[in-house]
Amino acid sequence: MSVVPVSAARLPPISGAAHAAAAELGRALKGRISLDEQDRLAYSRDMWPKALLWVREGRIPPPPDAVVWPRDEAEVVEIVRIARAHRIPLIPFGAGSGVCGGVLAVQGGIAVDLKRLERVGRVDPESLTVEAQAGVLGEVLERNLNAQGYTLGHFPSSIYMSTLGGWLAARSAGQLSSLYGKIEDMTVGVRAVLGTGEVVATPQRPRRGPDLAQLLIGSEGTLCLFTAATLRVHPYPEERAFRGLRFRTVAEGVEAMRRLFRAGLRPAVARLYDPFDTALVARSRHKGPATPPSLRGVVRADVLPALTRQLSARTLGRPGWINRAADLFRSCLLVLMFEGEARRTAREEEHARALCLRTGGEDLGEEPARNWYRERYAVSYKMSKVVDNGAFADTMEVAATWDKVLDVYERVRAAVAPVAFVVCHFSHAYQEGCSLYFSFVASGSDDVDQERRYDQLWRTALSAAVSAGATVSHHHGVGLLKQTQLREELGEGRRMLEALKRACDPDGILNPGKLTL
Amino acid sequence: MSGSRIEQHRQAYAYCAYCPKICRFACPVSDAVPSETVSTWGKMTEAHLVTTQKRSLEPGGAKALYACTGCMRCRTYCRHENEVGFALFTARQEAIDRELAPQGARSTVRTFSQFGNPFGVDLSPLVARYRADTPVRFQLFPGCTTLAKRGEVLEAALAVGEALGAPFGVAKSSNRCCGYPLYAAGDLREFERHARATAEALKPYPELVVLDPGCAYTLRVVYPRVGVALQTDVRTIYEVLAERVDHAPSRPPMEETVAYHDACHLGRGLGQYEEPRRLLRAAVKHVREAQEHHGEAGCSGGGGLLPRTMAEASVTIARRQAERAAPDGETVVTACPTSRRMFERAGRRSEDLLTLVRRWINAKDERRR
Amino acid sequence: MTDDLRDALQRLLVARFAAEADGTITLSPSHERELKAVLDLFREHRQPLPPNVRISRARMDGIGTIDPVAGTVEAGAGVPLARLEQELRQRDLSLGPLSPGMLALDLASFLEGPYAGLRVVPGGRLEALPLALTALMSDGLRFISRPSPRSAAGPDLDALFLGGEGRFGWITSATLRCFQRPRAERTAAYALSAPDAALSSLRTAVARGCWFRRVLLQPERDRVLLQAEVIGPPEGVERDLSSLAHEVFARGGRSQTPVPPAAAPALPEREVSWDELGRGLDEGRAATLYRIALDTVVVSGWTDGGLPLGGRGTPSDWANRDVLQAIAREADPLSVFGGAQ
Repeated sequence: MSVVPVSAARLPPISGAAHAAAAELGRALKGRISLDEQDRLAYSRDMWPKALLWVREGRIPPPPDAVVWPRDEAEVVEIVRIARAHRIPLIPFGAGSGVCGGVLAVQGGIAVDLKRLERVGRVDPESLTVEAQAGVLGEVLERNLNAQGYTLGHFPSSIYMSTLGGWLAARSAGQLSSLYGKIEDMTVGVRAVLGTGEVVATPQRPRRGPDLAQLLIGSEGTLCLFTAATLRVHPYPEERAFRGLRFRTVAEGVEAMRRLFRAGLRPAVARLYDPFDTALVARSRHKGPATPPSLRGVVRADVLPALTRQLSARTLGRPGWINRAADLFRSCLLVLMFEGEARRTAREEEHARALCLRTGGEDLGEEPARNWYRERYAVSYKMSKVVDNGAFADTMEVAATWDKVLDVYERVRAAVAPVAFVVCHFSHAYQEGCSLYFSFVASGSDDVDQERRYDQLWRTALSAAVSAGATVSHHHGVGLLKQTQLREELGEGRRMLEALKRACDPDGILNPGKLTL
Repeated sequence: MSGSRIEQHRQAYAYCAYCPKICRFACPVSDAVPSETVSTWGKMTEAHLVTTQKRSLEPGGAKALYACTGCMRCRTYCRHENEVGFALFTARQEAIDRELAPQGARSTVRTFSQFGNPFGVDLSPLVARYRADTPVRFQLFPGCTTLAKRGEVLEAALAVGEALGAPFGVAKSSNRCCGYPLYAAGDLREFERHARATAEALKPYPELVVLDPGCAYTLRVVYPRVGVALQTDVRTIYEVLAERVDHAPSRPPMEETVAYHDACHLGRGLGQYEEPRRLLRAAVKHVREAQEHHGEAGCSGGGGLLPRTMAEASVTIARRQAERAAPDGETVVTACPTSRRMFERAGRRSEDLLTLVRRWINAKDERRR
Repeated sequence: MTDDLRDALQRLLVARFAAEADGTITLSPSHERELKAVLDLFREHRQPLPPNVRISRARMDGIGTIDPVAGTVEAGAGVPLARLEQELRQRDLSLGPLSPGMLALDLASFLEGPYAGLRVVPGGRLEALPLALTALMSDGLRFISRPSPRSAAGPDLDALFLGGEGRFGWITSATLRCFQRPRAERTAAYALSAPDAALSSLRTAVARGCWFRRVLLQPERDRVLLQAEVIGPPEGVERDLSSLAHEVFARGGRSQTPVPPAAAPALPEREVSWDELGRGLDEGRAATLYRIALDTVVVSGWTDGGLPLGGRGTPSDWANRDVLQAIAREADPLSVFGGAQ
């Protein structure tokens, strides 16, 4: 579905259905509803980079008609009842950190901000589980667990600005997923309100029948609104062990990663940077504590924005030569981190190091991995500078089995090279394969050209990835961005998704226009 | 909306508008009022759109600009080190000029223009009450909140100073407010005028010891931002007392458990985290360190005029911070009179650091007797 | 079943159509295309599968590509897991530590039945054995999921088929995740003072990453014996034994001489929670554990408690039955698979 942005200066009028529902919703929610322009504007977008291009031009995605803030599950049920009666779409909203346009109100409707559902329970030390409400922000949840002596082990780059409900909706992955799994792996059960208004709570095992939780997780707001989840937690790690290794080629590095996981080792982090990404990472050192305000003016620029400044928009508009130059680089950095019980952590790290050395790696000591750990959220800051410099950037995370990983890498690079500057790292590794995380930077002659290039970039990159056997998303979800390729990936199986939709949301009010539904 | 003041923030507005909300969890206002509109990203996006003339300021947008305490917590997580409070307070000028500012901000500006402080009182008699009879080593600038509302804190400051060998006398020129309320209200033109006049009034003092961290922050950090250079060396009372804590009569700390709240202006604003802790550890045996402290410390909701523009939210912020800092119901000790007031408004026990230190010293005297 | 349909099925399958004297009819299509043709016939005749008709996928027992790089194998729905495991071991791979009850099943029964295709991975997480599935839906179209270690491309639709008792569709083949063949196995035995201590040691060791083929728990008058069979690469086994010993000793346990492990008889198996396992030990019941996960364990030989894993269940037993049945009605509107029942 294509989205037509609107002017930020003048928002489209509120629909009649929204007006009609508003009074009822206002009563049900004791006034926690807004039809104000300011709120509609703030809830019109997530972090989809394409929307940033629009904002730069003074446009925004089509806004919702209203925003509501339920504070408990019963109010969510009431919202669904009223929305069904008025046939008005509901768009579940966490903190809006998605990067695929998953919360855009493409058919108008009401954004349901769930952040007031923010309670976190006490950890059950026997079962090592905790129940948390869906609106809690990730960092708040993790700090709460840390204070109790535990960790969830879920550290997406968006942890500061995403909610548990958002993680569930998009099948989120954290940077330590190799050890702790993705959100679907750490979820013991969910509570959710379906589009029928029915509250479902999936029980813990043992239980019979298909796992309904796995059918709701990843539904991106199209089947339900999550209200809470029971999550598996872990004792806060006693120890962390770090190791950086250099490999002569991408193939050698990927092989080392594969062997690590096939050998049953369980690093929390295994992250291989391709040659040019390795060169960029090497320049992206920790800058020490925040500089005091008086020194703001001399804070040095980060790598990608510096690149965008140094290279004119025209150069980024023709990125082929940069990509060819990148071919001059060969060696790759592998970052490993283990954590957990002290003795076991040390032993696993020793075994991993020995295995990597046998596979051609060169030991770089702890520092590259420690540096990664210190800087693990830093990449998110680069977006602002890139966009402000008139260029655009985006990331694509796909996943494939080990036998296909290199092919996916090569094909995507080759396909994208004429359109954007591209680097890649391999992370979120498992026994069977890993995720490939591509970062693109590009520019265009003007706004129209940039948008055209942006669309072309995604079409090209995803098609190449899918044709090489990758899945369209490892953890960002589908949103509006990847619907065409999702349709291809689902094939005839899309019928099952439609059946799910009809059963869970017979009126089609939940986040319409997403997941091909 | 234009002008050099806005110009200096253009990049900050843009960076925040294009940022994936990295400081989202850190903003106390959007923690208490869980709306994207009042997140740092939401507020700065509004400022960005308005200052780039992509959107004109409306009452809703103006309200969003005022949803900031200026606590600088977001800066802790910002690699760009955006001064969001400063940027938003600057953008508030547009709301003031177009009479779109919330009522609380407008009334503050009105009161200030009439009385020179936000309390609508003449501070001179209060200053006279506490002026030293004889010349003293340190001239003290208590700040109008302490003068008008917290006499006991001022008395404690004088007593503690005496006990630690740092005799204070209230400076005559401390009958002036530092001007922070004008700054927070967004009337930066008036603030600049006021700052120049204050700088002139403070000229006779080569050194000034400031009690209220908000005042110290304003004089030391905010004045230069509007081009006003103080010729006075401004120090906080905590710096001065912490240097002399070893001069205190030898006595074990009191057998009490308290929680400590890092005041935003003292901590993130002036980088003074250890000075108040040195005093606190001398005075009480058990100090509970909040899970989030120093640069990450929470906000009490008292800054940025929030108690006047979003009263309910400001109390919610205070309640949440008290719960986080003192989860077992301990007394929350703080070095900021505004924070203490906020915690009390939230129904939590709170004590000013100086009155606590005074109790410790008095307890010593009693033992001697 | 109408005579017309019966005739059509007979014509299609010939010798693979078997009618018993008691009225039971067994249809044994050889491959997916034939199974599709069978389902097409039911749909064309607008009839659900009647209770007396059994469709066997035993002939769909091919073992396809074994990929040693990704560690995957493609297998037909009718492959007996014991045979598959044998084949894999020759290629230095393994399905992992499956219980005797699991190894006695064919792939489809393991995936669609109460085991729900779940195995345990180091760290104690339950994970679906298939990386991807191919299944026939009620309209004869093919559901094919993409082999990927993880995905965020919408909900995990494979979940409809795992434990789904064939109500949403019939699995015809799957790409399965394999481990490296465990090259070492060691047995260690300990005595602990109480069931709580034994279970807590075991559960913590599982969370740390210990990988057990089987664990025997034997409550005695004043102690509990714990005997664990640890598998994996040699250095992994050493690590796991060290972790387990650490946990046991931290709870006051002592080493014992292991009893030589006996061949495991195929006894009925049940999935039980740790609480229930603890109650059983408190009552003096010995337990042989498989699939030892942080959520639950599979106990061999208990005749009550937990979830029986033998045979097949019906949707009326399902958790979240109403929602799942609503989905089944949408997925199979003609109730070919009996989805609406």
